Order: sequence, then C-alpha cells, then structure tokens
Amino acid sequence: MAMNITGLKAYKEIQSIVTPKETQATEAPVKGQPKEGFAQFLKDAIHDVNNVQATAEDRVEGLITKKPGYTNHEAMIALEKADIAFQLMNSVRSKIVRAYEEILRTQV
Amino acid sequence: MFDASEVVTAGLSAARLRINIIASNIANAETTRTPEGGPYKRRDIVISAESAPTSFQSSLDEMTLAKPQVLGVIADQSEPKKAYQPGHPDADPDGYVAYPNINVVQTMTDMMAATRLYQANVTAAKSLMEMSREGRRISSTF
Amino acid sequence: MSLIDKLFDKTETGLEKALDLAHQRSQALISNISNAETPGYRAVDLDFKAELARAFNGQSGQELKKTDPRHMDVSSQSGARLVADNAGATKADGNNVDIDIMMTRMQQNQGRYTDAASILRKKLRFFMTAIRSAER
Repeated sequence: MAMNITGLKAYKEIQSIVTPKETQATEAPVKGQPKEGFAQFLKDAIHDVNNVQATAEDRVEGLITKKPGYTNHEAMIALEKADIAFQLMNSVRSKIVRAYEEILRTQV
Repeated sequence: MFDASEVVTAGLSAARLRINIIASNIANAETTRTPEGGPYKRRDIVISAESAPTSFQSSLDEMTLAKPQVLGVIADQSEPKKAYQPGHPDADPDGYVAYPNINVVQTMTDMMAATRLYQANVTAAKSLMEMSREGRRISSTF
Repeated sequence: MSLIDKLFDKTETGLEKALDLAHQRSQALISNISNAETPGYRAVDLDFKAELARAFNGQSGQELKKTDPRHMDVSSQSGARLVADNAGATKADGNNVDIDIMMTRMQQNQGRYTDAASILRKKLRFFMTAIRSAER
C-alpha cells in the first residue's frame, strides 16, 4: 500500500513537468525536481511524443477528409511511429516509477 | 485534386461504353432500315480529358493529370455505302440499297483494341487497390 | 528532428520517399491508362532526373514553408514534378499513350511500392516488439 502511494507520487512528479502550465513557462524550475539535465531530457522526450501523436492525428484527419498530399501510407507510418513513441515513453515511465519504488524500499 | 479511384472508374466506364458501341456497330453492320429512317449509322464515342490538378504540382506546370470524360455518342453522318440490289425490300427507285458505313474488319480490330483497353483499366484498378492495401498494412494492431 | 526520429535511420526515410514516389507515379500511370484513347491526351510521368538531383543535393523536395507553428513536418508531402512522357508514339488523334509500356511500368511500380511497404512494416514491427519485450 505504501509502495503504491510513493509510486503514484513519483508518477505525479513526472507528470507535473509536462502540465499545460509548464509548457508555457519552460524556464521556471519546479521544486523537488531531479537533476536539471535529466528533467530537460524527459520534458523534451514527452513533448516529442505529443508532437508525434499530433502529427499522426493530422495525417489521419487529412487522409479522411481527402486533403491533397495526404496518402494512406503516410498516415499508417505516422500512426505506427506515434504508437512506438508512446510505448517507449510508457516503458521509460514505468521503469522510472519502479526505480523510485526500489530506492524508497531500501530506505529503512 | 486528383482522386485515383475516381479516374480509374471513369476510365473503366469509358472503356466499357466503347466496347458496347463497337458491339452495336458490329451487330448492325447490315441493318438497312432503322426507326429514324435510312440505314444504321455507325456510332462513335466522344471523349475528352478533364484536367485534374494534383496535390504535388505547381500551377505553372504544363503537364497535368486528367480524368476521361465521355461527352457523348455521335453518329457517323457520312454517305452510306450503296449496293445494287434491285430485289431488296429497302432498295431505292434506282435499285440501290443503302448500307451502314461500317467496315467490319476495321470494327473487329477496334473491338480487340477496346477489349485490351478495358483490361488495362481493370489491371490499373487492381493495382491501385493492392497498393492501398499494402500501405494500410504498414500499421497494424499486433 | 525529434528524439523519436533519431530512432529511425536513413534507410527508413529512404523507404518513405520510395513509397511517396511510387504513389505519385501510380497517379501518373492511372491518368495515362484511363486516357489511353482520349484524343489529344499527352502521356505524363514523374521527373526522375530532377528527383535524383534533389536526392543528391540533400533536399527532400519542393520546399514548403512552415508558416504556422502547428504545421507538422511536411518533408514527405513535397512531390515530384510531372513531365511529358514521350515513350509512346503519337497516334493520328494526338494521343501518345502506349498501353503496353504503361502496363509494364505499372507492374514495376506496384512491386516497388509493396516492397517498400513490406520492409517498412517489418522495421516498425521490430521496434514495437523490441520495446514491448523490454517491458519485463
């Protein structure tokens, strides 16, 4: 039970990095944040995932509404990339959460 | 915008119409009497190309893609062939019978070309569908 | 270039480009075949010379401007130019489409498209499997 709560706390900390307010004020540091370099990397990575998913949405919409230049293979590729990006991010996130849990467990 | 499936469909329609018209010409090669009077007149299809700009062209380009458009069917208004057959029910006072201006050998050749054209359009349609299918398969659930 | 794009190497972009070209060429071929008996119609094809030159110069194609920050990466949207195709002889009515040539090209083109699509599919599937299997 205790582990779940701390895991959730770690997840929330990561989520706080990419809340909408955060995207506008990229310079403002967040309290209790891990090292600057890693956080920035994580931020960029999550923004990338958003972009890739937005591209996929755009490609699919363009395909369905038959906009010129929107081919079905491009839409499929965009979807697959978005899926891969999300899976990757998901994988990284769960590893981070587990790492936090591991650390907190060793603290007696 | 150039819609490949639309164009392929138009091509198939035009090709099929062409075949039907040629078939009609062959069937009526000897028809000396028609409801509108006179011998059967050879029919021909009139097609024009409707220019279809693509997504990837600037308007300055000379070359464009096109969609075939059937404008209509016209009847050959040239003088019918005359054969001297005084006993024929459709013979004129001078004993000549007016026959359709249809060269059967030429029409047979036209029919073969028309059939090949239709088959080519069918292959194009299949190719389009196959490519769409493969493109779609790039992304799948599992 | 996003982090995700760094996962994919030049082969992947090459495959995407191959797909785009094959797709565009299929449009030219369909235009030609459906108008094979249209009087006055002139056969078209892609300008491969220009495309090759662009590839060597490192350009992705006709440059499209990103005027809106919401514009996504548009490099694959740019297309090849159409040029007059003089492979076929001109008939009496001005049409110069040679059906046999078009059929051969279509078969070739379809092969290229489906090959590129298959390879791309396999590559993407590989990534997905790699990521998923790293879960545990």
